[in-house]
Amino acid sequence: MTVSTDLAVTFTSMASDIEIRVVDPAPGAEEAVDRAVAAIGAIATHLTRFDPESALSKANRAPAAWHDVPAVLADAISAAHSAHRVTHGLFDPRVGATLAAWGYDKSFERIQTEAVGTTSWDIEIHRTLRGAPVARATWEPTVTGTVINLGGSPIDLGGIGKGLAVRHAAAALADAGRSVLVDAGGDEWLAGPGPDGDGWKVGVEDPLGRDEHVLVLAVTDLGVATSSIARQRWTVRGVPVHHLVDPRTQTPGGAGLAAVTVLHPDPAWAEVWSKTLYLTGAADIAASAAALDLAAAWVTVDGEIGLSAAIRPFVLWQVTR
Amino acid sequence: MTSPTTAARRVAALTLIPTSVAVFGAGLAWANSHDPYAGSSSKSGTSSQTPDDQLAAAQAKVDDAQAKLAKLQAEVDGRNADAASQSAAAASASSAAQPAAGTATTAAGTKATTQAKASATVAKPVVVAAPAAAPKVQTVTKASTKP
Repeated sequence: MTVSTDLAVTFTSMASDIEIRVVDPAPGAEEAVDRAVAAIGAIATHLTRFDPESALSKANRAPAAWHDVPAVLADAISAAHSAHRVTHGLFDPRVGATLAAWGYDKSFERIQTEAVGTTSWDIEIHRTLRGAPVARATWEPTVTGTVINLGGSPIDLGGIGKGLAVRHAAAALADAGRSVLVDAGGDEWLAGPGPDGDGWKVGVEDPLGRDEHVLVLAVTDLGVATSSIARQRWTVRGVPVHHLVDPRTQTPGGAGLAAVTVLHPDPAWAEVWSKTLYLTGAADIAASAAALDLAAAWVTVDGEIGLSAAIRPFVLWQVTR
Repeated sequence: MTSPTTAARRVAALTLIPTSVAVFGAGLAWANSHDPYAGSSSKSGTSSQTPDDQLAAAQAKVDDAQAKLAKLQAEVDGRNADAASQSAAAASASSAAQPAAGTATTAAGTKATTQAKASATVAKPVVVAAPAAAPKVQTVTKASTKP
């Protein structure tokens, strides 16, 4: 008889509940978990723009200057820069300025309890050229870390930060056990056959607030990310806004969509693509997902569920309405 | 009284008759071989048929094909009748089972009814599956509380 005791750790970081679970842990699994926790902590510490003393906040205050930053921040900027290019500008970390103008310059919990700033729409709306480089970010290694120059534009790495945290944690846990789960508030990495041996069963939350999941996926060795406006919505002078800003218009994007879920071998790219596909809106998401051959599922504001061809093999169950 | 000479002449004449007949017959045969009308009567072939004959032959073929088609159609009709009766029996069984379950939603019921009708139309057996419950999940992907 084989007795298996899973190794599980939960904690809070990046304003999210984090869970790490190792099924049938191998020798050294606890050390691997410690490294994963540290990797997530480094992302949270250096990439946040809600802490004025974080490396990113310091760089954003003088975006045209050179800054000596931790390598984890330089790597994150590099990853964001790649995402910007690959998505032809739909993924744009510079939308952080717009979010800040809408009052999203503090954690979302505080937005809900404090008066939103008085910044007007007219002042803060500005258009950017689609496909323009993201501030021509450059970096070079130094003795103490890496120096960067943001090229004059402050950035927000919230669109990729948790995906990167999950990516780093997954790397640390590569040999930790038979199966591994890393969950950073809905952005996940699912390695191995899962507890039952036939894939991790992943419920896809209903963005319209109903208790029942809209889908159940069976996943092995993939990242999963969901971009949704279910929670992060507020109003600015009576105008409803959410956190998924379309860089082409500097306004809330994704017309007609409530949520998008993407499976991808890299959890950071799962997050990037979920946000990018969301911005294409309900009218274009099916064609966009097909053209990119992405495993994607989406829910419209009317509750309709859409599936790309690439995700259908992973769908174990779909709600009937 | 017949003289011996006369008798000999009569025997000679009778002997010559078959020879004459043979020569005449050979002459007829030669004539037949050189008379197109006389010779063609022994040959068979369409070239000798009149247009009425050809039309009659074609009509016979059409009649034969129509008879075969009628036979095949009768066979197909018989098979469809058997399948329809089986489908009706299956639909009746499933409709009897649904109230017993008592949990089918309106949407699911409508869908099942539609499926049954469609199946009856195409004469296929109907299999109505009850809505499956969501499998137990081990994790949930969801909206972030913070981007």
